[in-house]
Amino acid sequence: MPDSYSRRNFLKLSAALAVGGAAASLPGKAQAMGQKPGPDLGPATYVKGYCPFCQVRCTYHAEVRGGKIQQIIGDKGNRWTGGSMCPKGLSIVELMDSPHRLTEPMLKQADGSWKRISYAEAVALTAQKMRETLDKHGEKAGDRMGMLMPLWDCRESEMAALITLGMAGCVHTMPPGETCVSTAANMLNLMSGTSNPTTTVDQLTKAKVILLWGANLCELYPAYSRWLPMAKEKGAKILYVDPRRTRTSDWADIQLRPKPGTDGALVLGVIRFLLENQLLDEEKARELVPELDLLREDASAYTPEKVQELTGIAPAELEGFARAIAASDRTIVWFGGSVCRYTNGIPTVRGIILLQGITGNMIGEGRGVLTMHSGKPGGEHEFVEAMAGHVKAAKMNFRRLRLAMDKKRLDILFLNSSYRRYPDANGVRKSIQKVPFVVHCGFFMTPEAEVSHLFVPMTFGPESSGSGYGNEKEAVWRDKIVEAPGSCVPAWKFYGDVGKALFGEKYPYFDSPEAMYDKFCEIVPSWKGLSRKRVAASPDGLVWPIYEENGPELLGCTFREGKLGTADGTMVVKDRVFGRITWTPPKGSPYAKGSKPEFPLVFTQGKVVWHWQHTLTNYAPSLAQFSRGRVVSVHPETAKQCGVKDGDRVFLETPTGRLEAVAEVTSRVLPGTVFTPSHFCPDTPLDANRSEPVNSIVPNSWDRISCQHNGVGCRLVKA
Amino acid sequence: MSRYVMAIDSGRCINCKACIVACQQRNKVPGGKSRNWVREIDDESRKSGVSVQPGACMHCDHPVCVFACPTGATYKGPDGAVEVDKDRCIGCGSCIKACPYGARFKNDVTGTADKCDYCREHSAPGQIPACVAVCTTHCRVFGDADDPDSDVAKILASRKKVYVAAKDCDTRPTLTYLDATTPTDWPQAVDSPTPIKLMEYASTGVKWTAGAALAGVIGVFFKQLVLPSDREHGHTDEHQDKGGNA
Repeated sequence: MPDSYSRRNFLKLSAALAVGGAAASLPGKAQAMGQKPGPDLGPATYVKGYCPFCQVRCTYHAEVRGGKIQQIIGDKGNRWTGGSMCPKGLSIVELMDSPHRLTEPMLKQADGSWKRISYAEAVALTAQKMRETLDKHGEKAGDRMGMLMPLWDCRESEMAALITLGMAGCVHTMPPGETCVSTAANMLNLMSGTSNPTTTVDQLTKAKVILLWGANLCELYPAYSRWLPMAKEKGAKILYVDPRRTRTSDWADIQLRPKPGTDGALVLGVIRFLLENQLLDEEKARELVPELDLLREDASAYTPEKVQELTGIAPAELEGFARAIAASDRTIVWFGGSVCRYTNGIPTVRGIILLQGITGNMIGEGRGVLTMHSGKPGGEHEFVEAMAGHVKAAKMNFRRLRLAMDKKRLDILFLNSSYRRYPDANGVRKSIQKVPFVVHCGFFMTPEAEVSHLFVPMTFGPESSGSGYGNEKEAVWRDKIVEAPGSCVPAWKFYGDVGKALFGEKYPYFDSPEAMYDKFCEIVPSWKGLSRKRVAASPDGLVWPIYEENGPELLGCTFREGKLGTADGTMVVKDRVFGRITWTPPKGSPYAKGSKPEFPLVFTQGKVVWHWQHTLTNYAPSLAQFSRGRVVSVHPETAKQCGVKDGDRVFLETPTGRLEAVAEVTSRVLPGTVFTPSHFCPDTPLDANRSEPVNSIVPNSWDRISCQHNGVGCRLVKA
Repeated sequence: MSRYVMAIDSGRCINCKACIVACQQRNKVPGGKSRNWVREIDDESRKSGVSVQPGACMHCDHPVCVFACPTGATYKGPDGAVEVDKDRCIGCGSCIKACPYGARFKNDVTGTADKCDYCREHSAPGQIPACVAVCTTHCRVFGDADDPDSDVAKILASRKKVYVAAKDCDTRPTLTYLDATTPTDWPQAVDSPTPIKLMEYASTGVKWTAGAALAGVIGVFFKQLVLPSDREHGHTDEHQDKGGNA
């Protein structure tokens, strides 16, 4: 150290300080308290898949890193969704990785506890039980087995289950539609000759009027909501019929809010108004509806005043609505499941379809009927018959199957979906408990797993390959995206392995969904042009049917020859089975004769965006973050009459039972009615999604086709 | 240089909240937290009875979060985005308290402040923000407002621009609502935390002291450069040198 600074020393020191200062001023790493750097998961790959929940069948690209799906990104090329998705579809990622997921087969012990068993043991036990029934009951053994559909992962799984059960002589496979939309599908078939939607969603942009009858599109099919602004931008007017003010209301030019369960009276009122005021070309109307005079008779009592008395719709509102319909020569009606969820749904659906018929809106561009019951492509029965031999027609619906359970005439039940979807859910549970062997293919410890004897863990869609289908009758394909945990298997494998164990070499075993899909296309003529390669290459699949290899997709109106698909190309007013178009209040309704005055309110339930069915989505935290738990919406006037305030704990009571809930006082429901979301689960660890089954308080009501959930009398009592 | 902004047409929102879940998934947002939102208020003037207002960080031009940050980790980038440099963030929470929109939260995994970054950190090249891509009715539009061909520039040019900013706290947000949105004055000015307030006073003194010290250092530097100590005391030095050599 020099005694004094020389210029050289000074410059050296200055330079050193400058360098040191610069180094010190560079930002340091990881300064934050508690920071935990994440692991490097390596490069991303993107694999195509599709959502398993609602019928829109959104397609996506899954971003995979480190063997796990990190995120799901809607496929921009999907013409139906434009790449959008709803929260339910996105939740698949966390459902797959849920800490509550069950991944090993389990057998219930005599004391009610569960014992872990191997997959091979689960298959052998199931085959053994079926063999015992076959040996004991011979040709009638099939009647002692039943299955609740759907199977979640892919169409090939449904097919494998149908083949295995079909070879055992069992045809009692209960479609989920029995609990919601079968009435609509059957009536559409009766009236038009097809149970599928009669046009495709893209036709909305060619319509002048879109009539959403009970179709709360923005709540149920969020990804389809984009078609509403697109249609409006092209000049379409949107009419909406729904007792509630919903997300969809904001898109409507006119909304009518009839009392729940009175839609049939409203449609007859509209038909009468059109006929009385010569707003129809009757000659043209008779081409599709030759029995127009019978329809006139059926509608004659429904004067605007009568309609007001029954539905609460004022005559001026009715007139405006009817005139808007009359003014359009290109109308698409989209009806929701809700129109047929009352015991009087059959004449309601028929009336709406007849309204389309007499206004000339069934055939052609920008016309037709859209539904919310999916567009199931055909060919399934042809294929199952080709594989399993002759398969009898089903003799039971669930009502009869339940009776068989109660009478102990059912030995085996394959419980693949929620029993809580049926009315009188607690009674249904007791019936299931009378079945000696119940197999549940599932994911979580739900009431369905609890009530079973054997639990077999299933794969979620991305864990196996397979095809699916959606609302446009489009077939879609996904490859396997990630490995399944533990002993989870796809349902096609479980049912295939059971079939092989039962029938040996006779069983048409497919060792992959690819092999089954290819065979399907080979056997079923309407699938010739839907090869796996072609479907997989498309961002949104291909619309069935395509009869020729590389043949074009047929979009738009189903009736391409200008004629309905019914035997004589016309619509029936007086049907041999279903009679005329007559309206009566829903069974058990406070409007019905002999109703119980102690239950003066009308009960309604329905889907909300955060739930799909009673099981899977209740386990997704990303959906639970929006759920408000079991709420009951009630109008301020009604709440006042019941002595209930917003946020009060209440009991929602019907003659069948009661549920505890939180009151939501809102003008979004009509006075005299209540609404509560349908799909909770009593066993989910997520508080916001936990509640006893809503159908435990719904009486076991059926129309001639399906069970019914809405319209019964109820009351609110402060808890 | 691009100028990124987000425009939102509240009237098109169906309140499905897919934007929230898509964002959480894309950005690995820990459970219970969210970078964006859809506000709901009862509104009898709407047919649904509810007004909805999707939102996220407003990427303000006068960002109080930036002023509240003691380390400079939060900054307004040249392309318009307000960003958090996680390497500089100490997770003190000052910016979180300062933001009147509640757009920030502490990420329990990273330990840092977290907020909308237009999905920059977790997107593949060319990907638009997750909330924009997932929206069924295209109520969110994102892009370079200075590129006249961009969707966002076109929509901003053709629609009335509405901002959500309280009178007592105009942060000059860049997130733009189209035509109308309800409510427009919900954010409230937020009191800075006491340590930050004290730092404001202390920083003035520190600045003056540091400035005076720096001026002194520079003065000495130039003085030494022009007239080093050895020259000033040349005679003595020479004598000492000689003596030393002897």
